[in-house]
Amino acid sequence: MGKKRIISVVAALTAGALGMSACAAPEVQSNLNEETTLVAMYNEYMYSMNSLTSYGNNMTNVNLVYLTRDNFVYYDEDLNLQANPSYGTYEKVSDNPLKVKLTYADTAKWSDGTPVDAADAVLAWGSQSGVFNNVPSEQLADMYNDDYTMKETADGQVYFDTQIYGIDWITEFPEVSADLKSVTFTYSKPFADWEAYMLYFGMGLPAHIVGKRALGVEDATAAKAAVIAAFQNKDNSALSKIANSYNSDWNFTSTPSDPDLLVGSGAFVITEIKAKEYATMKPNEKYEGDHKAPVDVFTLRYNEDPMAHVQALENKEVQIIYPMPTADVLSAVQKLSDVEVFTDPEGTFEHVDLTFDNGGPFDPATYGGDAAKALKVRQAFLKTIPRQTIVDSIIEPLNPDATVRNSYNIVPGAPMYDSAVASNGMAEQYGEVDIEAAKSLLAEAGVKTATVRVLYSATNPRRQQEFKLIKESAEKAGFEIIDGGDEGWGGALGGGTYDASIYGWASTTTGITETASYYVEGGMNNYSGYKNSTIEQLEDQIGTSLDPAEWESLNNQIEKLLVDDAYGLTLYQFPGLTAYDTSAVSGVNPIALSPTFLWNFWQWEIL
Amino acid sequence: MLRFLARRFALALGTLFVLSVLVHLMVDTALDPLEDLRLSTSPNKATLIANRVAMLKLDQPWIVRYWDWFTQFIQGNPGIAWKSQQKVTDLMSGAIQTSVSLILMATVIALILGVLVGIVSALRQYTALDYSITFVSFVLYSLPIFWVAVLLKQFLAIGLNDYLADPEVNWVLVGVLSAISGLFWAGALGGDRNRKLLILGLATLVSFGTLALILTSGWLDKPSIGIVGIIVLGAASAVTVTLVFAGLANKRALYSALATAGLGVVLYYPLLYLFAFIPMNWGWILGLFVVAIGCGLGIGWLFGGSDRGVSMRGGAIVAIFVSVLIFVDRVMQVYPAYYNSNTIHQRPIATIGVETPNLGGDFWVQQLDRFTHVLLPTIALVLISFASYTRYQRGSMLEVLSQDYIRTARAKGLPERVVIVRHALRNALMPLAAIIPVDLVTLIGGAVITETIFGWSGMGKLFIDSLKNAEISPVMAYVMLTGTVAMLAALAADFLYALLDPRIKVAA
Repeated sequence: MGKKRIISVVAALTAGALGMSACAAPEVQSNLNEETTLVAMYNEYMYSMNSLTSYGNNMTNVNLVYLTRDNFVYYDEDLNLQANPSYGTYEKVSDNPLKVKLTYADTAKWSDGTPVDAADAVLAWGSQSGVFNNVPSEQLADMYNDDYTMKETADGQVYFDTQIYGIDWITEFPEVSADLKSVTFTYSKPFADWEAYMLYFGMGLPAHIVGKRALGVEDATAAKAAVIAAFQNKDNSALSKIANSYNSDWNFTSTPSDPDLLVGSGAFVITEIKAKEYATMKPNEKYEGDHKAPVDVFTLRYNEDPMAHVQALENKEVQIIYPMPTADVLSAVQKLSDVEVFTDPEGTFEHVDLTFDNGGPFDPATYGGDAAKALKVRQAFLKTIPRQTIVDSIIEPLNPDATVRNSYNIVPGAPMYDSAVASNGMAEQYGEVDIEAAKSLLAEAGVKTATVRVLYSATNPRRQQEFKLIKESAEKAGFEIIDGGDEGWGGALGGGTYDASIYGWASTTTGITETASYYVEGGMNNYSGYKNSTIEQLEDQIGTSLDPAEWESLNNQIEKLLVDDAYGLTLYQFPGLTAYDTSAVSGVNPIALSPTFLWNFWQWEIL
Repeated sequence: MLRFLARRFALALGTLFVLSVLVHLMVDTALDPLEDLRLSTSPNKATLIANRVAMLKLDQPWIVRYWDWFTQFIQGNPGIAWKSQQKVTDLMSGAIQTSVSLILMATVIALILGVLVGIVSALRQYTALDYSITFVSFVLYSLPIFWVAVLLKQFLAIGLNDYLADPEVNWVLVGVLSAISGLFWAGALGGDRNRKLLILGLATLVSFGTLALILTSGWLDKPSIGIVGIIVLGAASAVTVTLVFAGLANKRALYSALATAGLGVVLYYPLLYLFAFIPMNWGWILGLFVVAIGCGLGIGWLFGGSDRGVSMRGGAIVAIFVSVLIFVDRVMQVYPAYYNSNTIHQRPIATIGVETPNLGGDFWVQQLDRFTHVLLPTIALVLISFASYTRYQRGSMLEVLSQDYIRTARAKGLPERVVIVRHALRNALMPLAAIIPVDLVTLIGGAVITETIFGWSGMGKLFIDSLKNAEISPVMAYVMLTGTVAMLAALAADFLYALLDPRIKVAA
């Protein structure tokens, strides 16, 4: 190719290009969504839409269930249980035996149009009560494949991986009305928390979808009937299939291939789940209840890094955040403009327990069975615990209003808390550190040096600090404190290798029966080896009492006995941290129990 | 050769087996799958614990659990993550994609930048520029990534978004940036004092002018390259590519590069119409990209003459460049709509996640959205890995430049460009052949901290989450996968080396 030709080609191309530049470019289309959106950020990703099984039981799953399945009751900002008649009503038909009648409202519908009715209640009861499980615990191991999946249980082997205390007291098949609008359950003995536990009925799965997936019945009405029949006739072959579907079908971390699994009865329906990143929801078109969706698209994003929450809020990518609280995160979020910050306490509380049965300084056996002596040593130790100092130095930076928790059983702010504090005597006896009193108690007991081994989580900075403060104070009174900080502290609980322990308990409901297991002999959470027959009687009474007025006095008696026995001390409520963008939404107001900031989503207003 | 391969594979399998035993034992010892249940206040806690013990066989010796895992694994079933009941294979496939898409881009950019800066640094050894590069690269190398990430979010995302909402130009900053650019070019291009001063002045002015134009013309509100931009940048790329790879004296190479750029310009409007009428996807885009490279090669072949290869290579590189320009231009066109959309709130640069949930939009919007999300983590990763590439490249370039054959090449009168590009650079790139395959392991292995802070659920995140959840199956699958890739990468590096350097032989 000659030089001239090359030049002419280049020139022609350039000329062509310039000619083209006179053309108009086509108009740009983008197809962007233009709905109103609201994004909240949570610190743990969802992995199951059945939050009642042992592995789906996690706050992050409960959150999504709360948004997508309506319920009979919910907790309001004062932790009072509120009814939701637009979903259904419940009434106590008789006290003895305890009978409860659930009636579903006409407005209660699943998002595919099928009504919510007795079939769903039967499934909820059948799956949560454990009444139908026929696999003995020694055979549990055979239920799993080597890769941890649950075996498709052989025909007739039924195992629902859920057991809700109290609901297992309903052993009889309920009376179901012909139109399936109402159902009446009979408890084998009175159950104090029956009303709070109405929560578990609304959290259950849609019976017609379970029927469809497990039994292959396509028609919703027929599927409901099939599920009811399976439970009514104890048809183990069908129940086995239902249990398998119940245990595993609703476990997913991204949008499931079967849209039926996203059928819900609440204000929102899930439209997309991106594994570990987010779940988006749109208003349920079939929803006719009172708790209406406040926004066209609601997204829950997941991120565990607290600073990422704060910066995402500042960048307006999210409007509500719920990070793990630290002092740095709190000060960072407080610097933002147009942001309201809540540092209200959460459901978990920190406490110090003493061990009664390990031959240590707090065990009467050490003093030849002299219970009075051991009591004095316990009292002396508890008198040295600097509760106010711990709260001031560790919790106050996170929650300026933080106070010492003075009740064993009642969450601060819950209706019975003040009465418990006023009568149990914890505040009077252990409100302030009293080294002199501790010294004289030790002297009275005739104990020169008591060696106390303290167990706590060695990897938790907060507890390390608590240990230091307790050690410093207790040594002044003549105790010798041994650092029992342990990474595997959870496994050491109840093992008798320590005399005092520092850790937290989490409350999930305001149920009065929840804490019995700490104090009753052989109780699941009684790591202290504590025994008191009066308390056991009282716990029995409270657990079967249907009169809330009675609870208060019974609980006050229990707490008084615990303080008098120097059982241990409660320290503080874990601080929470919720913040939201006041320029984008209003009405956010978190509560101490799950689902924290989501509880009143229908009251939010998008600005 | 076969014996060598057989030996290496046997060795690799043995190593993997030992690795699996050691890691399984350690992880099994360290994890406590009952931790969450120990604090449960649930009244049926005993059942829950019994159930989990049965499921995970916690009441049996470790070797039983290992054996179960091992027999499953060699049958191609890496198990499931028991807590979330997800198949490990499902978890992995998504996570690998995320990690690769995050880290591949960062690695490529870091590699290109690192190599270029390393070469400049070596060519200007012991000058102020060299010292500055060394200083900066060491500073970057020692930065903790979680801190860089938080700073980037604060300044490049939140700060930049604030600026876009209320643009007020900080002229001091613009001036300082322009001066830094001027100093860099003066140092890099070198020459005597007068030449340096001239370059300093020119480069500062050009940088300042460009920045000022971008900031004051409203370009940021409606960014585009446009036909004019493509003409100018295409021609510039054609000249630069020819200058480096062929020398401007090679007219055929120059013309083929220019013609390729010209073809790109001609096709600009037809392509816009194509994009408007046919919904695009990556299949289309990659197809068009291949066609473009083919055109570049073809034009080079037509102009070719005796030295066809050089012209074809130049044409192909220019074709790649112009294609990317047109692609970027089209993505920019959706920016105003994206910026004003309801989900973006006029804050385009994101601090978290891979994409905006429920954004909607076509292919181009999604590309823009991905860009605004990948920008910060990529910068964070580049800043840190770029430093090591720079040091490697500088060292190896200096070593090569001191070789006898370089002196010979200069002595026989070859132009400096040919000495550097053909004789020095090629040999200086060889050590990278050993480094890059090993870096591929991090590509699969993910970047734990970056992924966590920016909310990307890639492999690093999967690994950490599984450890936290006490799920041994995904941890083992992760270890086995990265272990395998590491072995293969080492093997590939050996072969690559032998391929590039005739002095090295692969032998048993």
